[in-house]
Amino acid sequence: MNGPEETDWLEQELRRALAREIPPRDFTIPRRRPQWRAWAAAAAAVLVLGTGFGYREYRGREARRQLMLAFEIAASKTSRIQAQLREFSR
Amino acid sequence: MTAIVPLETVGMDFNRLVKEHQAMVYSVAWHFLRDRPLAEEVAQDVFLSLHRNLATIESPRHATAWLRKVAVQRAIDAGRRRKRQPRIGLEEVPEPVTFDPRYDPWLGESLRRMVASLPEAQRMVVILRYQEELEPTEIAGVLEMPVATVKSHLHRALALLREKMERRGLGER
Repeated sequence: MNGPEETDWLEQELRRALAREIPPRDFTIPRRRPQWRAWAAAAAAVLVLGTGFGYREYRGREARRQLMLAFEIAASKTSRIQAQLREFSR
Repeated sequence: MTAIVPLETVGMDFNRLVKEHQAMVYSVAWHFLRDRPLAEEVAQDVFLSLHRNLATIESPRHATAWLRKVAVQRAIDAGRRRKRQPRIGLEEVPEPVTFDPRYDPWLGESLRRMVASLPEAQRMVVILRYQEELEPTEIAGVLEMPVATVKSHLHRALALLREKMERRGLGER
């Protein structure tokens, strides 16, 4: 484009260097998703579900423990009131 | 208004288009990005887009122009997304290990690396000019820029490449 003297070694070398290449794979064949992705997704799902179940289990145990504590407190208060009532009745 | 004729009816189908143009699409991305996995990703993306837009393609000639334009756009986008990663500068291109530049087996590779280190617009203009053998007016159409700008990019890119090649002893034989 810049005159005959400009169609020189550099332009020739550029044509050679930038020649089209055959791609390393055929794009007409759909690529399967790499297996590790599927495994990673499955592991993540198991982890999330496992953590979810574990957390529910923990919450259940915690609720039972708090209920038992409430019963114990209530029972000790009741016995203290009963003792006071016995004092008054004497 | 011209009716759009599906490509299948003019003897072209998706697989044939891919087979015919995959070297062009892949090479535009590869020469621009210098990253084979990323170039493959870009090519895959371009053909996925072609599949989605197949009904709008009017002729084999239209398919070629459409694929070239989308490949150029996707390669530029991928290059911009990757920009936070360090790029190879012209000064970082290793000196070729050879005593006689006339028989330098690394000349093509050195040149490709130098092209890859050009500024974005210059790089794509050089690729379209020397890989795709497009005229400046055609390049202007693909890149949506004035012809004068294309010529200016090309002129600057060639001057820069020539200077660097000569400085490395890879000049005119």
